[in-house]
Amino acid sequence: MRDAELVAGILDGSVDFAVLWDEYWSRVYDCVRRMVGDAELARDLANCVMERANEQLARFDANKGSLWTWLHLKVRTVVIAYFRRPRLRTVSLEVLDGSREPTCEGPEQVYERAAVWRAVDGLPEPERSVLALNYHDGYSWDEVARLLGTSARTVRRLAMRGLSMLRGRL
Amino acid sequence: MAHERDDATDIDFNDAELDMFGDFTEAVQRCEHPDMEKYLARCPGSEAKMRPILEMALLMDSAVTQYRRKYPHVDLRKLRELVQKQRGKEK
Repeated sequence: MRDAELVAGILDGSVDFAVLWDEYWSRVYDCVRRMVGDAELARDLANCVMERANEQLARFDANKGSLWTWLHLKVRTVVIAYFRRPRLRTVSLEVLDGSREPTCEGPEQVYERAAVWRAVDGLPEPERSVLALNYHDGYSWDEVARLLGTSARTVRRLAMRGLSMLRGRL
Repeated sequence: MAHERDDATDIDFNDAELDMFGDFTEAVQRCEHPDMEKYLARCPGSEAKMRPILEMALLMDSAVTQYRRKYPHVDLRKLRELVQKQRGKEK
């Protein structure tokens, strides 16, 4: 069944949303899992994506892209919202009572050691911002263009130059 | 040397190369595992220029994915800002 027919059927009640769920859930889950790593968390977030898709299905426009592209935007929105949610700060008890120094390398140290991140941070502007907004912050090239008030082609050109520079620095 | 422009600044790209790069990187980020050779075939004569860029795009995506797998609860944007602040204090 084509995307437009499937969505129209769900909206007019002739097709159950479960058809869409069965067709796309695994793909959504694989994509979320690749982004977050954890299987259980990915399952919860994939369910969240599908529930959001069900609520917002009337907004889908087949003329603007495929159903998978539309669902993928939902994946990105849900995952980014998850990573940006307010969280309690935690610290190990051994560190709190001073009886033991932390021995494990934290995310900051791993980040600092990673040559690729250092290389990105060493790029000149605007290439650095363009790559950081896409790879760190998860914005698409079109979204980066809107944020920076420029065209998508200019952003792609800057990204390609940035990647060329990175290659020379790694 | 950080923050200096280099030879890559002089590289220019035509519309077909820009579109191919955008389509390829978006397919990578949509977890579609695109075939790089098929994308390179869209721009005959540009393979030598485009292949290293697409490979670097894959490396970047892989670095982000691996990091998020290892630290699923860390906000990369905030972490980057934190590390940059720490670096600023050390200077």
